[in-house]
Amino acid sequence: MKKRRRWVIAGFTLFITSVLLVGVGIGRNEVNVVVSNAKILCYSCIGLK
Amino acid sequence: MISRIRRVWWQASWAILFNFPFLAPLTFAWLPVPALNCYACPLAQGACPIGTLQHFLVIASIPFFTIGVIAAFGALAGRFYCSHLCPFGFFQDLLGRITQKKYRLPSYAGYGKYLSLVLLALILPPIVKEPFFCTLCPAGSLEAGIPIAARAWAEKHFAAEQIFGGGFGILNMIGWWFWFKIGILAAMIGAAIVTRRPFCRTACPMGAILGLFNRISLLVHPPGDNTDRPKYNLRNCPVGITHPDHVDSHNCIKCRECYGKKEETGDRSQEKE
Repeated sequence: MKKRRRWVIAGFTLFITSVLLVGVGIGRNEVNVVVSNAKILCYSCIGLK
Repeated sequence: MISRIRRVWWQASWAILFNFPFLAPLTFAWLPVPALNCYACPLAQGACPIGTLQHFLVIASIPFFTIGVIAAFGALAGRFYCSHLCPFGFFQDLLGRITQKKYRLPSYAGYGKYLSLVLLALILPPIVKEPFFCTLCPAGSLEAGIPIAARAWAEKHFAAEQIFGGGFGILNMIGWWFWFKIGILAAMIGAAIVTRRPFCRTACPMGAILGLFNRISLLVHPPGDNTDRPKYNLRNCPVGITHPDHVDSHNCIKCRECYGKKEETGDRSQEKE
């Protein structure tokens, strides 16, 4: 049970860290890069070179 | 709730939601989804996390937002998304229903997905300046390559109106690489018929990332100890886990098909070496 608690603490810490990373990303305006990249047709995905 | 609803219905529902035909394409383009769903698919709603990750590497920028989103999903449920949400995993599950006899993959094949992640999705994209994993990805062939090429072909031969927009000149651009990619998809389809989820187990970079979170995610199988060890029935494990201690390992997709069953056995008599 103690071992499991350690994993839970690690997971929770990781989750908080990931939320902070998301915040940093939003602050760096990365969302716009994600959107613009997604909206450009990915020719690599289709198999066109 | 999750265990009461058959997993196949979850998978079908999410495959439709990720590629929802009644919303404008890429309405949720800002969100890298926690599954391998190609954003070049004409109906895709969210961004492919691996494609997005590679794009940031190509432009030499650290993808804080994408890493944060993937890590948040991973910390919540690990590879649960592979079993319940991923459309490509669903496709492989359906193919796996064609025959009952399955061949077992060697255990080391499970590390192939890390090779795929590190080499194809992290190292090569900044070198070749394109999302290299996407150029090989069978999910991209299935969800984007075939539909877009088929639409262009229909436009050319039947003068059909454009359904999804774009797509002019695609047929002229189809070359040997397109057919090579289709060949990879065909090989994957063949493998998925004779073994369970071969792509997820050996080549999926998204599964490799989410697998790192499997042990520490909020959603885990009930903890085992000497007195209260749950009994797992691993006979029909879709990723070939045979030992109870390996439940929730990096290979486990948390489908929970072993969960709550009384029989604990590593017997996989239907599989051949």
